[in-house]
Amino acid sequence: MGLLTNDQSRNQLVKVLLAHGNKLCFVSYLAGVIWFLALAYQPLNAGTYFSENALLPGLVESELPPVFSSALQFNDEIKAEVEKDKKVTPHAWIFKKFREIGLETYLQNFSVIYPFRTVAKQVATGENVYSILRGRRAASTEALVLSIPLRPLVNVIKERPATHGGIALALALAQEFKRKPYWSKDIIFLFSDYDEIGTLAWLDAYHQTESQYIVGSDLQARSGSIQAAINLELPAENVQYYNLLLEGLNGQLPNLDLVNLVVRLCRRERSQVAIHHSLEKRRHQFSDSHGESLEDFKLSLSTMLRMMWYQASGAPSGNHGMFHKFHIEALTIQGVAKKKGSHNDIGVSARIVEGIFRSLNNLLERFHQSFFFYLLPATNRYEAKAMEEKKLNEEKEKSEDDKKDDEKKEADDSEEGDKGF
Amino acid sequence: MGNTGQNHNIGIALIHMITCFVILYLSFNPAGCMSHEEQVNEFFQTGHTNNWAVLVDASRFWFNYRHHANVLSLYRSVKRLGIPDSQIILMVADDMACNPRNPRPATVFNNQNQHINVYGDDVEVDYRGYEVTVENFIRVLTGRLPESTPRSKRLLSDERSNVLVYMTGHGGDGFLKFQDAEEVSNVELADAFEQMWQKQRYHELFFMIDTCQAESMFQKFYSPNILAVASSRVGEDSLSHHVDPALGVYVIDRYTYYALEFLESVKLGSKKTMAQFFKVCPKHLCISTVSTRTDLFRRDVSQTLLTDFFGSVRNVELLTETSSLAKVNTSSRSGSDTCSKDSCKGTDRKPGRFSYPEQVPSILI
Repeated sequence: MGLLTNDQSRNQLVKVLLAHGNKLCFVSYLAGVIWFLALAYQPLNAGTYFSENALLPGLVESELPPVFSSALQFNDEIKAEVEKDKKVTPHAWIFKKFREIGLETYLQNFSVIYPFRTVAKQVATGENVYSILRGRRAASTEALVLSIPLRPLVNVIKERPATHGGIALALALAQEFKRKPYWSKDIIFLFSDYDEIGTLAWLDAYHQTESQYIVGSDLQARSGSIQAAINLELPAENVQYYNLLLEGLNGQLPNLDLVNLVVRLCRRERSQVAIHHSLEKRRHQFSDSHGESLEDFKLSLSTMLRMMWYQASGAPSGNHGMFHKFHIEALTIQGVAKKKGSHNDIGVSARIVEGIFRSLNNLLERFHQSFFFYLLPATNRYEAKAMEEKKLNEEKEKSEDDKKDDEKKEADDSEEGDKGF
Repeated sequence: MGNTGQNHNIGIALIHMITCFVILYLSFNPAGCMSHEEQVNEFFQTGHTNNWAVLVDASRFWFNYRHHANVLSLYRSVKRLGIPDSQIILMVADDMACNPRNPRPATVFNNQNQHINVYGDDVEVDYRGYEVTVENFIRVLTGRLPESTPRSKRLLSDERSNVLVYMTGHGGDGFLKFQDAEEVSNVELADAFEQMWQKQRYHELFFMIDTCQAESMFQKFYSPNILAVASSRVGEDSLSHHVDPALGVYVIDRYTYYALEFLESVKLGSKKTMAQFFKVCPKHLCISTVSTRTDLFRRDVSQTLLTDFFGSVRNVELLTETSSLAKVNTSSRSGSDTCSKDSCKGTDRKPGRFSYPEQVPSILI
């Protein structure tokens, strides 16, 4: 008779379970934790891929000049401008420059009522500058946002680096984009004061919602619904690699397609891109181990744990977190400048951002195809929470299938004429 | 005086003789030595008198640019080979040329070098935008259109028409996706073609399809005189050919690219056959396997001219003698005649070569 249908043997089973209950619990828990950590091991997770067919990422060639002289010039100008007064942000300069380009540029004032009533009703005020580039042949029903936080030089620390290169880049790109006829969505250039607070004030005014402690003035102009936002933190110097910040409020993340898009565009420009500063050492891309060595595992594990840590804190890692509140997919691209050996000048960054926007331009719907909750052990590997139960059951088969799928995808890509990396 | 007169007469006689010889020689010229009968018969060999084309692009959106380019390139080829716009039904979503994402507005290119704008000034789209639906497609084929439909949207073919049906888009095993919202299945399509046969709306039909798993679409055909070619087998994907980096899209599919290359070498009087056309994209070029269906077709494929379907050849033959043509009996079709009130007992139909078929069989009335 069967183990569970027979009364006697069932009783036996229950007795065994009760006797060793605590030990079993402890062992299962430990096994679970170890299993979870093992997910960072490359054969156990999956390679990233694009789910949204409309994106056509990186297919179109850049239309920027090979030496982006206007960006370099703006870069010099902004460096001079911020040196004048290190305590303030160059609002007036930005406003003037965007007006000169010929875009609709406006200011938005906001005030923050300090919530902790230790000091009697402290109110801080700030100013956002935003500029709207209208798509000539489209009806302004949708928009994309390029957001740059404004930080006075005195406030710059390692976690909140300087962003002046981004201002120059935005100006140069705005000038280039304005000349092109192929924008199907409006592009909004947003320069926010006080990082997340200014962004939230602007977003609240845009969507006509209210926050408890932030009061912003009404916007003089707006566009359609925002489909995606890129937050840019670029220093004025040359960049060695790009660090992506994904975590938003309460652990929200942007759609994985957007992350994959940014990674692919960076790779197209032969730039290094990392998540949580975990640089993929160049030699590993050509080694035979394919990410199965102990070093790789340690790196993947630390990246994954750092991502979980940031998510657990609930605080956003950049301005992009505020966009997640309104279901707008957003992430932050941080350019990391080191003392020597950096070759990614502002032209490379400009081409990456242009490529991202050209691809986002192709979108017809909001991002909905790919995952919203995932863990990234590396920029090209992902671990989706929906897949974890499956993994538990079919560990070996899944990893083999993934390998075959990756090979097949590579074969398909190369056959379709896609320039694989 | 008499001598010159005689000479003159001899001269004239000589000229007459020479002229006679020349005429006799010419009339017995081996080049024109084909018998009269043969000349006349060759003229009526194909059996069709007019050509129609139904070109369908079943997908829309910017990333499906290549389907658009496919169908417009074929439209250009078919027009070049002589089928006029009045006999072409072009069903395409037409959202490429004026798409805000198009870096070259008002154009559609089928090649990276951007030499030919297949959209041009004179493209006539009959069903555009959201009119490209399965219902409209089936109605066009079967002729069941509302009274108010203009002539340009009707397929006014008769039993001596050769019809070319070309479809492209996204397909699967047994279906073709129409505009992201609906599908047409292979069974539906086979039934539509059978309706066409019953109503004598085609003499011969050539079905060409370039989608993924395209073979499945012609597997269910059962009407006679259909020739079909598909760009891929069931379980295979049809792949696109190349990207245009200036536009940022794939501009054409592989099978259509090579088919067009072949068609470009075809001129109006060309003797290229359908058998040659079927070999146009071998596996190393197309990656997918091109498959064909010839069992329903009565003629030999290697004797069928390409221009029977792709062009509209108006033959002109000059005869030196008169000939009388015998009346042809039209009841050569077996078992699928419509049955009218008068002739339901199997007697001969009305004499005469051309009779208007009944749109709704009288049995039902």
